[in-house]
Amino acid sequence: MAATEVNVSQKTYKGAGISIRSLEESLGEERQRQNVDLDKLKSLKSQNEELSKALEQEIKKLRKFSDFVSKGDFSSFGAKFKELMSYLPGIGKMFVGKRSIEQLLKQQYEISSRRTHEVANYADRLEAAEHDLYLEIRRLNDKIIEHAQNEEVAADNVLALKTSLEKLEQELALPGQEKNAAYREKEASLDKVRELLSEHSTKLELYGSAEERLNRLKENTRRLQQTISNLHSDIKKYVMVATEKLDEAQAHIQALGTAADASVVMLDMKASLDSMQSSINDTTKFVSETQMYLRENLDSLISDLEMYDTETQTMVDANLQRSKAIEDALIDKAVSKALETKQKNAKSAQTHI
Amino acid sequence: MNRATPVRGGGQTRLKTPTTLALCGDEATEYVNDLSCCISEIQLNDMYPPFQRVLHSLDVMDPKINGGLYPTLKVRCDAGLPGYSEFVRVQSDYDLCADELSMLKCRHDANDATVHPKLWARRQYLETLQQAAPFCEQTQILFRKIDRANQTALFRVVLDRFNPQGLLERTTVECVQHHQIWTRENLSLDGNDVAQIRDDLKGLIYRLSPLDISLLFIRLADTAGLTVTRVIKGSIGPLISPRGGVMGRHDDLKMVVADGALLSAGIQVAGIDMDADVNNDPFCGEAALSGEARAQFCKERSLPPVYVFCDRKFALCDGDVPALKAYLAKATTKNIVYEVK
Repeated sequence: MAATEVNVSQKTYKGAGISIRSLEESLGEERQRQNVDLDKLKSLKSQNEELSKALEQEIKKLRKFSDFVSKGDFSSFGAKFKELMSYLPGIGKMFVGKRSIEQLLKQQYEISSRRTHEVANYADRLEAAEHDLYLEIRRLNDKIIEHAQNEEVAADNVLALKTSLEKLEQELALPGQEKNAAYREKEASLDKVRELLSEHSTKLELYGSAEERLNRLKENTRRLQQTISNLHSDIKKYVMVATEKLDEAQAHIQALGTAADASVVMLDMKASLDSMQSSINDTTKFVSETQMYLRENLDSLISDLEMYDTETQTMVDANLQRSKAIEDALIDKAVSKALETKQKNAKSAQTHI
Repeated sequence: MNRATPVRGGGQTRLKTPTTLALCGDEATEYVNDLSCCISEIQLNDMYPPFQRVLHSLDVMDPKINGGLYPTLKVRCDAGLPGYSEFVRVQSDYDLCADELSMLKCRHDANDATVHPKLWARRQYLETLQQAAPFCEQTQILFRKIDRANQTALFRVVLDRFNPQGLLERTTVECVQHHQIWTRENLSLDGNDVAQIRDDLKGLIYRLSPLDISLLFIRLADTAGLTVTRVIKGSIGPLISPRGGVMGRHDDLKMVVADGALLSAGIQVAGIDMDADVNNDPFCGEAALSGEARAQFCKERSLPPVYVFCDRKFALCDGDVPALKAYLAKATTKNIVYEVK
């Protein structure tokens, strides 16, 4: 057996291995990804604000239009007289005629439809963001599992090495042993076992820490995903209701056809307008609620994540200091051992002279 | 004319909404193909709605092109054409597509069909949609020529719309605007010689466009300061097709179509530059105004005599041509029939 070989079966780790530097780099990357996700959410929030403003404007227009239809009583004497006059040759030439209600309804339908499309597109973007976060959680889970498995491997290795260490120490402690080559080989093995024990102990700690910290990152990602998921499922529901009401309005408008400008169909026109208003109202109400939800949740999420960043940083600093202290101790130990060996060698040389 | 009839019930007005049929999957694709082939073959000039725009709208209505984002295609049963809401949906997407595409292009993974199939499909659909403008309702004013001696200008007002029967229709009004001190000009030229129209006239044309062509002419001729010389209505449809159960309202023609589709395009012209009425449209029934009533009407308004010309052409699968020709012979009209290969 060579002096540096150890007769202990060690399990191999999965992945690319771990060190303090690689752990910090990997966690830094993860935090970077989370920041990107947060930026996406912030961008969705600003889109929500834009939509909210546009929908508010739409509601105002619809109300104005509804008032115009309600007040424009075509059965009133004045309107009837004007309508009647317009049929008379000569006098009729003085009147160009009123605006087409059907055209106005259609124009309003087209605007309302565009707004609903915008919200539906926004819902699609939410769906994509949600999907991204699911992928992120899946990826984090894979890493967490890998680290957990490696932690178990490290623990097994530490235990096996500890047993080996105790065994070697017991063997070396037996009284009346000659300090021959076999004895020195055992001493070398003991040193190697100590070295390996230190290495695997560090790994045990690093994998444990990585697992725990990634798990906390995952929890935050899950909170982001839940926020987006709630928004998406609600907005989808509202878009469906809005689309249904727009369909109703569209059916009314198509049915109105040529009759759109006759007073007899005012009620249907009002129904059509009401459907559109209700559709836009529903969407606006939701977008406004979403706005509030985003404002409340996003800000707290960001502050939580910032707090977590500080906490992580403190933990990382502490770990770095501890690791440095362990390494320093190991180096000191090794140096003192090296010095001891040197002194011993120097003494034996003087005796020979 | 199959106008929407108001039905009174329970003290509230109820209108009969048009019946629609939802086509999906291959059925919708085949329907779009049939209709597009017919429109491409039927040789539509600028008196009809812009067929390139219509074809582009139809193209993106195909579920294969829109990647299943809109799995159903609603078709009006009476006209056999996609409903108004379908065209509005395409137009809405077109209006939003520049912004939407710029947002999608920011996502590096929107290029990857495996990561976000829906975003990928949307991007493909929007890129196809962006290539050309779809069909939408609009009014255009074209300035023709100016006569400074008589202080008049000749304009052409073009209105594209979905008519109440669910057909795509273009109404063209050729008129002369007189410069008069006591009336506001409905049509004018701005400083750059670009034709302008007042909203009132635009609304009036829109409101009156569903009327019978002769009535439309006479009503428009009543507008102060305007002399209407010609009114033309060109319409695409109805489409008669057994595919997916889509049927037009012309029962007697249903037997003609064994396979594929039969599309017709009608044209009606009312003008003072004709010397007799001509009706070569087998779908055109009795005119709303008889020749005598029209003459009386024109006389009272000091208008020159107005005559009406109606025609219709057809496009269908070549196998069904003999059956259609027999139908036309029975209707005693001589119409152009285009064979769709």
